[in-house]
Amino acid sequence: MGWVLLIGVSALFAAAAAQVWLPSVAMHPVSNRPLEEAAPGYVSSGACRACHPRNYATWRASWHRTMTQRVAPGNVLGSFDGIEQRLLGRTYRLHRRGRQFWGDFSSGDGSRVKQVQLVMSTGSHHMQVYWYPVGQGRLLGQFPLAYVKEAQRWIPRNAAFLMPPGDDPVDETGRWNSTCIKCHTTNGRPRVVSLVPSADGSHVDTRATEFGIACEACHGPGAEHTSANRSPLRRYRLHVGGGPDSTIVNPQQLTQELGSQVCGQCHSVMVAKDQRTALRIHHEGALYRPGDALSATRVMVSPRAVAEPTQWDELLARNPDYLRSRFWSDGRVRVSGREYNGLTESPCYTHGDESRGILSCMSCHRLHQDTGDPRLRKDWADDLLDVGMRTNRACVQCHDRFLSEESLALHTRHEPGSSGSLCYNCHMPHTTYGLLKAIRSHTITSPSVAETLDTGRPNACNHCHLDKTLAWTSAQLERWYGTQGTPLGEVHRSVPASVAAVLGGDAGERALAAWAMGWEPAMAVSGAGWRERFLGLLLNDPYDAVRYIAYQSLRRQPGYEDLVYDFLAPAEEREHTANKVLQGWTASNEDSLEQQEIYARLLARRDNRPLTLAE
Amino acid sequence: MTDQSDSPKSTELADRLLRFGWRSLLVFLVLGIVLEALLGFKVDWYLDVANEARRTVWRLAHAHGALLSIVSILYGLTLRTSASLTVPRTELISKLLLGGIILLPGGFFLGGLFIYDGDPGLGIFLAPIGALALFLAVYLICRSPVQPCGKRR
Repeated sequence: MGWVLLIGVSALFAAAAAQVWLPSVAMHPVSNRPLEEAAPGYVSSGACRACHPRNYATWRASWHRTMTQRVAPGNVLGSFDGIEQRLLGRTYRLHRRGRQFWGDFSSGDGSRVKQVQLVMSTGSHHMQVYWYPVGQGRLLGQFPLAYVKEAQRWIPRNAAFLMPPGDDPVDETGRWNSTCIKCHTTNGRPRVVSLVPSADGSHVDTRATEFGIACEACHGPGAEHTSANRSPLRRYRLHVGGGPDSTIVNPQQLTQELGSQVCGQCHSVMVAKDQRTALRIHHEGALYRPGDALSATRVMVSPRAVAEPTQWDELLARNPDYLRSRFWSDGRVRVSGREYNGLTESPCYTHGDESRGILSCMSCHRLHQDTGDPRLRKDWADDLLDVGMRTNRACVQCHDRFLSEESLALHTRHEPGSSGSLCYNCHMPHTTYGLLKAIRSHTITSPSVAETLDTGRPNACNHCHLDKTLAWTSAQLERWYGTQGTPLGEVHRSVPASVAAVLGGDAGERALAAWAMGWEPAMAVSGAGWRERFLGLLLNDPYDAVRYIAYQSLRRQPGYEDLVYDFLAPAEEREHTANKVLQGWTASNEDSLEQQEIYARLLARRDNRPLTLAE
Repeated sequence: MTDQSDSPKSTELADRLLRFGWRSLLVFLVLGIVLEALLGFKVDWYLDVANEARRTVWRLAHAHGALLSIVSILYGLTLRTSASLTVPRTELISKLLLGGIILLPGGFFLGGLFIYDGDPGLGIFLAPIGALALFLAVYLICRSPVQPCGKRR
């Protein structure tokens, strides 16, 4: 018996030892997609967990982490149930093969079907886009469909962005390797060796320390920090003595300018400061490290700050629409994800000082949820706002003269507790576009009728009081704040500003107006029974994104909750639904002849220039 | 030569170790019950991801404290039943053992009261001192010849 036991135990031990000590089966290194690997100076987020468990956990719960992921069960949003979908004349099929996710799509004439394995994804908060190997090393192509969380459906990738109508999917081969990688990974290195394809794909050898925006993206390379803090004596000296740790960057301990630039490295419109730097970035990845000044390697594209009118000539020569696709005509940023541009143009930033305070990203945003924060993790993760920062607390932390209800009401001219009493709604209205919706502008401004006239950008007043004209707003601002009145023509004295945008604005303005018509605070104050008509009109807008937003807003109008409409249906079908909505409205309402004439003029003068908003 | 196990001092030491062992076993078993309760009632102060360091060292305190209490009991019984060392040596071993039983799990426990993110509090520095004391105690025990009761040297 003893011998049997001994043999049994020995066999178990030998098996365990074999697992540990025998060389494992050689793993083929990944070669058909960008590689996630350590780089000199970097340790990746796993190394941070042991000492910073809470910050690690909050980061894990954030949308930053999932900005780029390997496609795998558990992190895929889209449905891969194998059902065929026909969209804009093409057939698609999403399906699984075990743990692999595949997409089939046909050519325009249906003669060729391409089957691709989806290996990487971008995004997870609002939508997800997928990438596949094109067969040239680590070069990736973009699958033509994107999955939209709100609508719970697949849509053509083109339709997920505000861009001119067209049936051909934009070819995005190499886009991830050269562009997306810079902001959607940590220490991403494009390593585009040559633009000439090589037989073995070695002309593109893209790598990143970590997919997604991880610890070292904001805190800088962590190797020195982890190495130095292996010593418990050093750690406890810092614990007890306090003070900063010089081996790592804490953005909160930087100046407001440098701290905000940690965010601004991605959340801005920036270009390399010169061609040589651009080439280095193209190969080595971003040269900026947290704590550096961004200006060492980049120039922020800011039309408002241009001293030399020719500064952007080279940029515009390559892309004539570069500025128009990112900025309003007065140079204010008009797309999402570029908040640093807005911040640096805000008086709270430019006029701040040590005594009054200088606005920074961290004045309102908290990148790691605090211990005492009572909110659910997912609520914090939504916008990474600090506790109370959805309220006026965000502003009165500096502008404390508005702490009392009385002084606030005197300033806002709105009832305390109303949407007009919220600082954000007047000074950070939803006038930037992105992710198929309107997003708060991060340029802190005051409402201006003149700016709306000059640029088409809705002002905060008319963005809420959708039923009011610019003339009404001008009179209110003049009466309340002494703002000089603006001369206005017949249209802006008789047509609500939101309607003027729907009828005559460019695609971006129409999208913002459509979104506002479904925004609860605006719906509450702008009356009922009229918005449906204009949203119905937009159901037939030439831009996919505008139609999508119009439909979402229309469903929020009473009586239209169950409206069935496919913004990607053939034009005749869409027109049929739009006409039904318009007929329903017209049956109970009538425009005067004069009004009809004004509307027709606005439509005839609509800004139909092709517009792509490069969010 | 007098049988050391019969000497009053030896008996006193054995009794002290036995008493201490059982009492500290009680203390650390209670700690274990408390930790189970914190787990059962999902108390954030114990279970939150930020409190991983506390959880780790308090579990260490419970486990080491209970185990070392048994060691104390065992050594007390050993003293009762065998003639081993001279009384001064036995006294030294007892002090080292008792010191270690207090400092090692005690250090773990104190280190969990106030933590520094991923690091235990300053109390943790008692733990290595207790570990050293235990090491010396056990080493000295290993070095001592053990004879059954009644045999004279």
